[in-house]
Amino acid sequence: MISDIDEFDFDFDFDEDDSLFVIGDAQQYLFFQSGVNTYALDVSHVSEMIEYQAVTKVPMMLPYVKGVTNIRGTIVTVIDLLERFGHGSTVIGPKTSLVIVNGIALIIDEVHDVCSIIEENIKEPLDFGFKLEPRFIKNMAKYQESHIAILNCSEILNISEIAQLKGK
Amino acid sequence: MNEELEIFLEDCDDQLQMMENALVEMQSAEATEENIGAIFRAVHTIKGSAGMFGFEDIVTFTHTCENLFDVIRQGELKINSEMVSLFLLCKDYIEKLIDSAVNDEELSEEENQLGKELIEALLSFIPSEEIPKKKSILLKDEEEKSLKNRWHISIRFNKDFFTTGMSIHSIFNFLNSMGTVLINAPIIYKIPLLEDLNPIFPYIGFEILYEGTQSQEALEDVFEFIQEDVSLVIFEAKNLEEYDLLLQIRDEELLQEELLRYSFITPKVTQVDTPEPLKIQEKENTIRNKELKSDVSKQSSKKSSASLRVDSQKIDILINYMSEIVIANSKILALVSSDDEEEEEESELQEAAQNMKQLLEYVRDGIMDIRMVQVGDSFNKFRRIVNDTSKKIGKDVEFVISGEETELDKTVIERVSDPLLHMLRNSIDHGIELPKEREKNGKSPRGRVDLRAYPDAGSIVIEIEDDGKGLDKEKILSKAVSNGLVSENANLSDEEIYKLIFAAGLSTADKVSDISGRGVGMDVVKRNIEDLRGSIDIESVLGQGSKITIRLPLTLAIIDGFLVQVGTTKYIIPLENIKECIELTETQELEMGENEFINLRGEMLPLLDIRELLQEDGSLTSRKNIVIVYFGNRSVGLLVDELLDEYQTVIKSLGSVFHNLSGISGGSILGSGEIALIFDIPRLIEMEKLKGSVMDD
Amino acid sequence: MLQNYKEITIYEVEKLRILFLEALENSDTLVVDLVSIKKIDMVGIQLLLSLVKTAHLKNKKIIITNAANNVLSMIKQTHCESILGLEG
Repeated sequence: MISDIDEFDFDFDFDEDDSLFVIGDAQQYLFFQSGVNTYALDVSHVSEMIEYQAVTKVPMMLPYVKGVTNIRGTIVTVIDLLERFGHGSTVIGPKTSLVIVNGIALIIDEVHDVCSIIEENIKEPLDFGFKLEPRFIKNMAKYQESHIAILNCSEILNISEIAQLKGK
Repeated sequence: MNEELEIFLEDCDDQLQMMENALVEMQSAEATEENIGAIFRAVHTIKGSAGMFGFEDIVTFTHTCENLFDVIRQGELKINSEMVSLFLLCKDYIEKLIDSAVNDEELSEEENQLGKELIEALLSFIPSEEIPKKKSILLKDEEEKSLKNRWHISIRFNKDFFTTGMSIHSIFNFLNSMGTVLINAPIIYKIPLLEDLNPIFPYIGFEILYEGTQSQEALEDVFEFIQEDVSLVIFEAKNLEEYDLLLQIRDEELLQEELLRYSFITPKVTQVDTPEPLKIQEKENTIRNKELKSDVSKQSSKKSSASLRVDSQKIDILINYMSEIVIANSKILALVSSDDEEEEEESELQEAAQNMKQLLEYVRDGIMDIRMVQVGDSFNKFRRIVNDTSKKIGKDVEFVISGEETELDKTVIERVSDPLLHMLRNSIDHGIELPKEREKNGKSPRGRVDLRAYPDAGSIVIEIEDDGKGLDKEKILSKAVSNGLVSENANLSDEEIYKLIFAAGLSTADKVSDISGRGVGMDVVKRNIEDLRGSIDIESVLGQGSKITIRLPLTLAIIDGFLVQVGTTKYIIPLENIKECIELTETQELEMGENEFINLRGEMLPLLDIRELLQEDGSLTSRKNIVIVYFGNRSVGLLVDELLDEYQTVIKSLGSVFHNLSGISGGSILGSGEIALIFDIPRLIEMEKLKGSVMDD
Repeated sequence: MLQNYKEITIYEVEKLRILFLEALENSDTLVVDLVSIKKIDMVGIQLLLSLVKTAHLKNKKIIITNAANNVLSMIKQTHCESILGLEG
């Protein structure tokens, strides 16, 4: 049992150490594919990821609001991310997944990875000719030699925008 | 917000409501002993609870209120209407304090200032002879107990302490304010390594050497409210033998070392040479602890044991499960019956399944019943607002509530409260005339507003009736015409004219008063009521008064419906709206042609093609069936593909993304896991009416 | 990861406990930067105490730093500031 913990030495030199793990600087992101592009999402916004499953169409909504689906007894709204971006419709295949963000399920093509990106590698969004509305991009992450757009969930999932009825 | 805080909030709400009720009564009648006692107890209870959580602002303020009320209670001061008004303001202020405390917010400058003014006002009422009396008592006390005493306080926490939300920091603060904490030694040797750490288990403890002028009882009082969640040993520090007792009670290997290290004791004291007296002392200690415990348990059983506080979410979960069970059981029943279609007698299995169905429905209804709450609780809250509002605008109003015992689902009551309040305000503001005007018209200067609730044929009816000036048809009509809602020549019945009040943007108030007639109009009220699957109607006689009748379903959660298929989606139509179902025959189809009507037994029935309306695509199977639905006195035939089955189901919200969707009121998860959408028949009929093709019966 | 945390109270401690354990396993030096922590309670303080103990036992270096004023005063009230290496 440690009883003389206050003899613990706090005065030591802080040296550069390979195995230095600094808590407080890095954030985790989910990397996934939608259409031809890879995007990233802050994992703290993601509550779960599941395989694509049956979606019940709800009429009179905007085209990218696909309807609702049953997740363990809860009715969850389903949105096609590709369609939301205006890049066409997601083709449903064996790797298609649903990523639940802020209580809404997003249809995406494939999940790639979850990893930490340290602050230094987070940059301001560049004008990449990305063909994606700038407001949907929060910032850019440097990941495996390329720059990936980190998505702005609150804009993409802006309820007052999404909740509009078709033809209004 | 954690559970403890939520309970605190609910308790305070109850206390404050009791306080308000008593005060409002005292405004119109003589103050009774009962009322005064009730207010005193309410304030005292809030003070105690707030103290438990370390909300010192609340404690200080309620303490002053309590003092004044104590003086009144003792008969030394008579309460007058000025004081009653002051107390009502204090009640509001306490509410604000509690709100800020619970949400961890600071009070604004104005709020602090208000608090000071209120306290000054409260103090001004306390008769001045009181103060000198109290001063002399204090002096005496101080003389007697001017000797400071040193106490050793050893604290360990019971396993659930951290989850109670009580703050050990506030205890420290309190001690610091009452006297001096000479030594505060954190006991950390019990804290395990990270691997074995159960983060919310309190391993930590404290040994404190405290110096103050209080008696032992006063000191123990400080810990009274957490007595059940901590293990305390308090003794006079000068009694060195008691340290041995402490070591025995705590039974911790390293405690002695720690006590030595922090200089609570010096090495000589560790001898145990008088076992006998120690045993007696131990008994004394435990008796003391037990006494304190029983005191606290008396305190905490304030509420009668007959009722139980339950988290409404738990009930919702139960209802969900129960409904799924009922559905699952229906499946069993269906399987069982189809097997034995040939047999004449019911098999035992069928009988058992039927029995099961009945029992399950009893249980489900029983659980739903738990959510039923008396409307009286809510209605009484309106009293004060009605009183204040009438006074503010100079109207004299008698507010009569009846049917308070009528029960309604908790959620329904919560959602109907605001609309009701709005309508009550309307009655007072626009309905009831000023006393002079009333007298001129031969009415008594005092107006009357009735709020009634009663059950009727599977629904609950709530009526708001006033004997004011009634609705002016001409005015309403002309306003509607000028707003373009109605054409000039339209021939509308009285009822239809009154219904125009619910149209958006229509307010016949001459000027927008503070109270009603601005923005949140009757259209919103109507929508709110219809969202609850209810209906609202107005009757009125010019010069005599108006009556608003609201009908509400007993419960929101479950719906009896009929399952149909349109395209690829399944829909549920509430049974209460269904008249009949028929097959669309070829002849009828031919007759239809381009029109959207069919000839049903000699009458014209307008049709609604669901597929078209909801812009569904889907297979080209011809629409085969018509479900005739009605709402009020309008009927429409819904053209659907397949008729499926009767279905009883739990209504679930589709989510905020769909809140603009008219015509669909929610979703339901079928036994198969599929989601079926639930039709909102009143809205659908309205939507169709706007197309101009609905006919009245 | 502490960046994600604004408080170390009863609600976050389990996640943090695991975080700390992993960090101790993967590195020899641990810097716990409390700069973003706005609130701490007894449960949090207990967790930090356990962290320091564990680090000591495993012969790892640990630095706890940048405690905000209110957080520091909470810790000081319990007289644990020197044990955690936070001098007032």
